[in-house]
Amino acid sequence: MDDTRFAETSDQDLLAQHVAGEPDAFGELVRRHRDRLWAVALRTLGDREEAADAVQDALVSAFRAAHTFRGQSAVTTWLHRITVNACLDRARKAASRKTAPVDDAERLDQLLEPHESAEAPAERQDLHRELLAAMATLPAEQRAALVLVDMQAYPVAEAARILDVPTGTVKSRCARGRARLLPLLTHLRSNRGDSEDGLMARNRTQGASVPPVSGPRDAGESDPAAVKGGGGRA
Amino acid sequence: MTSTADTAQHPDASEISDLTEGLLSPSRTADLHHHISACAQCGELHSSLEEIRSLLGTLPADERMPQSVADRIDAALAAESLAARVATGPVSRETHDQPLESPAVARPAGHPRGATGPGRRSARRRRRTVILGSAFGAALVGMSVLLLQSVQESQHSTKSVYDHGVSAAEDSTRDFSEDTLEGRVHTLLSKTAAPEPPGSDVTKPSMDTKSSPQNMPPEAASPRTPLRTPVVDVPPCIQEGTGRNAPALAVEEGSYRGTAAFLVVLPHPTDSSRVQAYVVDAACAETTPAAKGQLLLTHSYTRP
Repeated sequence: MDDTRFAETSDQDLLAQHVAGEPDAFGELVRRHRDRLWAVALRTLGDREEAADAVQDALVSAFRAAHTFRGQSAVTTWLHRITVNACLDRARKAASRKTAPVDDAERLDQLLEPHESAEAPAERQDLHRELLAAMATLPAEQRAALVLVDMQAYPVAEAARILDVPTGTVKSRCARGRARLLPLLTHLRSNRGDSEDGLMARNRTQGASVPPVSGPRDAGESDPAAVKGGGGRA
Repeated sequence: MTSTADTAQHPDASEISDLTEGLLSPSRTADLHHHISACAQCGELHSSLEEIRSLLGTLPADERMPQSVADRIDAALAAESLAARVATGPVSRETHDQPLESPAVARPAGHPRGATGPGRRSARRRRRTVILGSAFGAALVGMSVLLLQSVQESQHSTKSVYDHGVSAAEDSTRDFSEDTLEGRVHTLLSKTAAPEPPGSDVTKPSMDTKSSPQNMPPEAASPRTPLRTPVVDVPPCIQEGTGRNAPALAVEEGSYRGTAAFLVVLPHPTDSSRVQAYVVDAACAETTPAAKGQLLLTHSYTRP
């Protein structure tokens, strides 16, 4: 396929041409954006098959619904929004089926491949694996916000457009999500005592730092107890 | 609760997290900063939250979509594209050649989808591939049936909208909007088509929509041309704005959301029972060198 044919065509023109019947325009759009959509879907769902299904569903929907695109957002935002919605739908279904999407070692390994398989130190791999497992325990909306903002480094405003919520909501979801990942960090520190002494000292945040009189703090610390189990629940 | 530096009154972790996002009121923010600077535990919590954030950023994220997944998606889109053409089924015998001549996506027709490649890992995936493969044919049939249905449905529904559209369009002539566009299109077409014997535009257009759009735009030498003579003149930059070079069925000057615009009606690229309407910014007609007109709105409608 001649990749140069569309080299100077904007996303929006490509979409218009697709609507107008140009058979290769949509394929070019897909080629431009699929890697980013894939990364978002994979992180949001934590499962390669689910992510592939979600991106496929999303792109087929976009293919069909291209004529509804009104240009109020960028095409890439629109594609991301459709993809994230497809992911959230799947995540909710998975949650209602009570199957934790990320709970076996094999799938976590898949998630880290091919980038880390051999190169990264084992300790780092463990860390990433734990992090992904903990991510899987978050509510899907928080996870999607963290994937976009913290993992994929989209600006908050762009994440808000993708998720179709106010920026304050994105910030709030990120904040709550990070707070729920805290126990993971302390858990990891207690396991990785060999490497960093400074971290060891901070382990007490897990136990001793829960002030006896603080109601809200208790809620924060006790709720994610399951998180420490490493993704044992959906 | 009012917070002081008193360590007995720790803020909870989510509130500290909210603090880092600037979600708290100014006075609460000041209180918390005061507390955190004095309370070692909460200070650690605060920095731990930052650490979480940066840890998330260190996850390998630059991974490209695996080729097997990309192939699979291309195949799904090709099927989608094919189904859309098959849905125009009765239109043309030669439609069947089309996917071979110009596959809608960048992969050779008939390439086995994702059955090989580096991505395969588990039995689960293999099983799925087989299921997908066998589902593929069925899905194609199913999709075309669905599409046929939806075409019929939309013909139904547009009919009633059409009635509205015409009356509305008569009031606000030449002011293009999404709501009234269909009425305008139909009015224009019925004017242009007036000399045509009734029913001819239902059967004859089926003659085109064949030849590969890549080599020769089908409309360029379209057998539809004699059907709708005289072919109207469209300013070149406006025509460019549509992204196509088919002879226009109808064209009209007007405005869209206050901007001078052309309404251009072209044959639908694949479905001869429909037309595609384009509203293109007229500004390009005055500029030299003429730039491509900006496409403001496009929609397909059933032929009246």
